[in-house]
Amino acid sequence: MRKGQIETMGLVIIVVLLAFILVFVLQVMNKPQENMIFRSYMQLNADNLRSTILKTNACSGVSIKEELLICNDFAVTRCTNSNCNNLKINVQKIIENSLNVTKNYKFTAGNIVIEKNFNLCENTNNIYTAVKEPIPNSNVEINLAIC
Amino acid sequence: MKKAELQMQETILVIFIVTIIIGIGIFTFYQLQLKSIDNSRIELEQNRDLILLATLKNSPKFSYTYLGNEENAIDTLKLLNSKLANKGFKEITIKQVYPDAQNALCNKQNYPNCNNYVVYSKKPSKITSTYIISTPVSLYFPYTNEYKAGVIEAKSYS
Repeated sequence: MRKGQIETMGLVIIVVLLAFILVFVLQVMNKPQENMIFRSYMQLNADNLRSTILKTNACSGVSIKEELLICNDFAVTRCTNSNCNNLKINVQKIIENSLNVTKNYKFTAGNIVIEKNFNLCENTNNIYTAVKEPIPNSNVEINLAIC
Repeated sequence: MKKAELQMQETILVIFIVTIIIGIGIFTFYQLQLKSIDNSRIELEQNRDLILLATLKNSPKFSYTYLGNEENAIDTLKLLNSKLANKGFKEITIKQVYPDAQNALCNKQNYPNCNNYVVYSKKPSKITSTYIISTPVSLYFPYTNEYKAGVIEAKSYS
């Protein structure tokens, strides 16, 4: 083999090696920075959880949404005719039994606030807020955030 | 040994080493590609599960409608009869989480004194990994005209 041919072969080998390195680098650079599926999943959970809580019956013929409204206006509930603590416990139970990825949340309905470890979330960017639901003919707005 | 023979041996050695290096490179590249394809498969499967969970409650097979309006809830009575068509190796269950109910698989005999509805189940003969996602859902009970809280859970097997 002539010297020129050997040099050409060396160049080909270098080019092949460079191509390999380039492919590796491009693969690493192309990786998505954040998991979009996880974000969509958490957002879906927040929205579904808010609508599920409001629809659920607190007792026969009375939904949690109605109980929250009455609690905001009169600080009593229709189902038990007592203070709103039972209602809060029930909402808390629904939230905690429904979420499997996270247990940190904040639920607000007017002056009723139910939360758990939400202060841990406030310094992060991973808060997923359900779409706010204003209740017609009242000033109450339902918010739910999980992280 | 002549100089030419020595040069020939050197050349053979260099080609041999370079071939090994390229071989290792190709093997590593192949492994990484396989891993990347597997990750894409898992991601796609997760995406499919997410879409399934998001749309299942509005599927005519399961959703509760009143005078033609979708009520954004699952009719539990429909769950007793309807089953989903082929969705691959998965198990899709709907569980009641509030109020507490008897922990049992629902059928026509024990309904509504149960808390677990299986709407699809197909397990592979050998399970290597399981991926579970769930999302909250409203459950409607037509006999008592009540809404209860539940979760739809999708377990994907591979």
